[in-house]
Amino acid sequence: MTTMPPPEADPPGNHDNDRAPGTPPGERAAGGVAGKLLWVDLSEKRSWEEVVSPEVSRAFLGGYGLGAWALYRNLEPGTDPLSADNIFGIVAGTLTGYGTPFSGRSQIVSRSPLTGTWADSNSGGAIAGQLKRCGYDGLFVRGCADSPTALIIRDGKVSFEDATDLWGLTTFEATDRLAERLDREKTGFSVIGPAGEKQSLIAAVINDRYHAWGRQGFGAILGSKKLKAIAVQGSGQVPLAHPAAFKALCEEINLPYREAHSLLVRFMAYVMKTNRFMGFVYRMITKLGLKLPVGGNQAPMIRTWRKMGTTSAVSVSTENGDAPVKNWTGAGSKDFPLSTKAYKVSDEAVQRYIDRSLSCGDCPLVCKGVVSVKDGAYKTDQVRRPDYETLCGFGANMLNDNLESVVMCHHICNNYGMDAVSAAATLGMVAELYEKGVLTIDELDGVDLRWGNAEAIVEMTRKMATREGCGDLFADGSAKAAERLGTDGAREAAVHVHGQEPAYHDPKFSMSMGTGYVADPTPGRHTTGNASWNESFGMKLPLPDAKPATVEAASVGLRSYEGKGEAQRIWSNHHQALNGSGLCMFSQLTGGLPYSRLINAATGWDMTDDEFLDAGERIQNMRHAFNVREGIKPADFKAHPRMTGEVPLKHGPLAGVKVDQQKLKDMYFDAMDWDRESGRVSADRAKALGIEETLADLVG
Amino acid sequence: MKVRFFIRGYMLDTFVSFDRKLRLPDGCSMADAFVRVEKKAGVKLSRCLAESEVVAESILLNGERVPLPRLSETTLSDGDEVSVLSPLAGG
Ligand code: SF4
Repeated sequence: MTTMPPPEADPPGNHDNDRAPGTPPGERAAGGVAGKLLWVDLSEKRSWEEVVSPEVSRAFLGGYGLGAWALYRNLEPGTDPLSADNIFGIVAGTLTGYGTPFSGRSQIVSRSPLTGTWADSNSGGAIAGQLKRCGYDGLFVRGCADSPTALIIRDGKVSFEDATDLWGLTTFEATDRLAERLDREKTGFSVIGPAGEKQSLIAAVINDRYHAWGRQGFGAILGSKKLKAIAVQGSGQVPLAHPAAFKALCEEINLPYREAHSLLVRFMAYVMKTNRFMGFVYRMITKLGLKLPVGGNQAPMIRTWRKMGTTSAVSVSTENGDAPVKNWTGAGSKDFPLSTKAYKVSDEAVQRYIDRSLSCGDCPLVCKGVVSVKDGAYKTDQVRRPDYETLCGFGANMLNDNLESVVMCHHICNNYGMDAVSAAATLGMVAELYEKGVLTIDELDGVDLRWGNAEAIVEMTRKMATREGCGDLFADGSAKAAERLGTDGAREAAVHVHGQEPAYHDPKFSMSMGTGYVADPTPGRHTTGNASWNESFGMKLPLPDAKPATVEAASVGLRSYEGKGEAQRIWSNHHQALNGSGLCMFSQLTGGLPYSRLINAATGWDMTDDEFLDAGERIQNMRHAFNVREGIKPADFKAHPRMTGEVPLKHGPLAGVKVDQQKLKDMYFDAMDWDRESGRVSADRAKALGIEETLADLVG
Repeated sequence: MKVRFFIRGYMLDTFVSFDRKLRLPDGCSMADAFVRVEKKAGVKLSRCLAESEVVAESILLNGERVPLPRLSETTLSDGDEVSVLSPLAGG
C-alpha cells in the first residue's frame, strides 16, 4: 500500500492548488477524463492536486472505482470514520460532465460510520459534473475544520468559507442561502442538515435540494468534519476524443426516448422551438421541468417510468410480497391490501400531488418528481416526490395509508438530511416494540406510535432527525437503538445487516436481492447490482457484445439456486462498471446503452464489453478488499432471520418461504474467487485483473 | 357472483393496469376466469403465465398464493379478489 504524502505546508487561506510530490504529469486520455484529483485538508486549509495515470483511469474507470483506488492507497486501515483522519471522496464517472444520457449523477466514497465498512453512494446531483468542468475527476477531503465551514470550489480555486450562519439550517435553507450568491444553474451543491451536524449515523448528504447520498451515514462524516456544504462551479469544457461519434451515439440513445412522445407533441415542440415567442415558452416549460404530455406508440416502459418512476412499483410489490411490511412480520396482501390500502400510497395516487418532473440532469427518461401538499396538517411546498423506498418505508411498512404524511416524512428526511430507508425501518422497529409493550408511551415522549398512526409517524421522524427527546435513542438506526435498549426483544426487532437496515425488497421474493444484502461490501443495500434484475424483472444483461456465454450465464430461474453465484458475479460487475462510468442504473431498464462505445468515443480507448465487465470486477474487488483489510470477515454480514424465512411468515404469498442466504453467498464468493472464510481474493484472479500488487497483502 | 381482478405490471411488453369487478358463473374456476378476463384486461394471460415464471408465482386469491397447477381446481366465490402481478423495479 502506498500512502500519498501531502505537499509541503502552505499558509492557510484561499489559494490555488499545488501538485503533490511524486505525481508526474503523465499522459492523459484523449478526452472524457480529467486525469487529476483535487485533495483538500480541512484542518490545514490547503489543497493540492494528484495526477491519475491513464492506465488507472481505464482500469478503474471513475466513480466508485477511482474512489476505491484513491481511498485504498490513502486511508489507513482502522481509521475512525468520524475522525479527522477519515477521508471522503466525491468522484465523477468516466462519462460524467459532458451531457452523456443518464450521466447527471454524482458519487461519494468513504468508510461508513454506520457499518464500519466500505461506503459508497450514487445520487442525482450536479457536483461531479461541475468537478469535471473544473478539471478534476474527483475531490477528496480529509481533516476537520475548527468551525463550521463551506468548501467553495470555482474552477481551480478552493475557498474555505465560514459557515457559522448556515450551521443549524435545513438542507433546503442552506442550499437556497448559498444559491443567493452562487448561480444555482451553474453550481453543484452538497449540503448536510441538522441530522448530519449532530452526527446521526444514518445522516445523509443532500445534493441540489432534491437528491440524496442517503445510505451509510455520509452526512455524519461531513458533520464530524464541521463541513456544512460543498459548492462546485466549473466553467471549463471536457474535451472529447471523438466528438462527432460521441454526439451521434447520444442521438441514437435519446431517439427512442424522444419518440416516446407522440407525433403531435413532437410537432408542437418543433413549432415552439422555431417560433421566437413560442421558443421562449418552450424553454420556460422545459426549464421548469414540466413534461409535455406523452402519447402515441411509445414504449410502455418509457411511458410508465417517465410518468411515475419507481412509485409504480409500490402497490404491486406490497401485494406480491416483494416489499416487507410491519417490520418484516406482516404480509402486504393481508395487512396492507392493494385494493383498500396500498393503492393509496402508490403510482396514480402520488401523481395527484405532482408539481413538475425532476431529472438528475442529462437524462432522457426524467423519472423523478417534485410535489406539493396544498393544505392540511402535512402542507409542503415543492418537495421531492417520495419514491418506492419511502412509500414502502413510511407507508406500507408502517401500515400507513396517509400519503400526505408519507410526503411529509420524506421531506423531513431530505430537509434534515437523514436516510429515509434506515429512518423508516427504525420507526418500524420502534412501532413493534411499542406494540409489544417493550417501549411505553412515556418512553416515546407521549408519541402514540401505533401501526398506521400517521401523526405519530411524522412526529417520531422529526424527533429522530433532530435528536429531540427519545429521538436521540433512535437517531443512529435500529442496530444502535437495539444495542442501547439492550434487550433480546429489541435485538430481535432490529432488522439489519451489519448495522444497516435492508431496503424494501424481501429476499424471500427475490433471492438474489438478498445475496447483495449480505455479500456486497456495503451491507443491506439494494442498489449494488444483483441478479434480481434478471431473476425478478426479466431483464437480459444489457451488454450485447459481451461473450455469449456471459450473457447466457446472467439469466437464471426465479426459485432455483442453479447458476446464481455466477449470475450475481456478472450483474454485480456490470453494476460496478455502470457506477465507474457515472451512469444511472435505470439506463438498463430499456435494454441498456452502448456503454463501451460511449466510453471509447469520449476517451479514445478501444474498450470492449468484456473489458467493461472486467473493470467492474476490478472495482468490486477493490470495494471488497477494503473490508478485508479492515478485518471484516464474510461471516460478519448476516441476514436477519426474518429476511431468510427462518422466522417464517404465516400469511401471504411468502408464507413459509425460506431462502438459504448462506448458500447463495458462498456461491457468489466462489464465483468471485474470494475465500469463503477470510474473504481473501485469489492470487490468480487478482493477477488476471492486474490488481495483484495493489492488493498484495490480501491476495492468496 | 362478482369477483374483483387486479392485473398489473409489465406483461408481454405492455404495461397492464386492470382493476375491475367481473360477473362470473357460480363455481367458476380460476383457470376459466382467466380465459374470460384476458380479453377485457388486454393481455394474453395464458401466454404470459407460461412465459414468465415470476408472474406465474404471483397469482393470489384473497392475498394468498395459488400455484399455477392448482388454477383449474380452485373455484372462486362471490366477493373474492384475484391478483396477477408482474414485479416492477423499485429504487
Ligand atoms: S432515470 Fe431517473 S434516477 Fe436515473 S438519471 Fe434519469 S431522472 Fe435520475
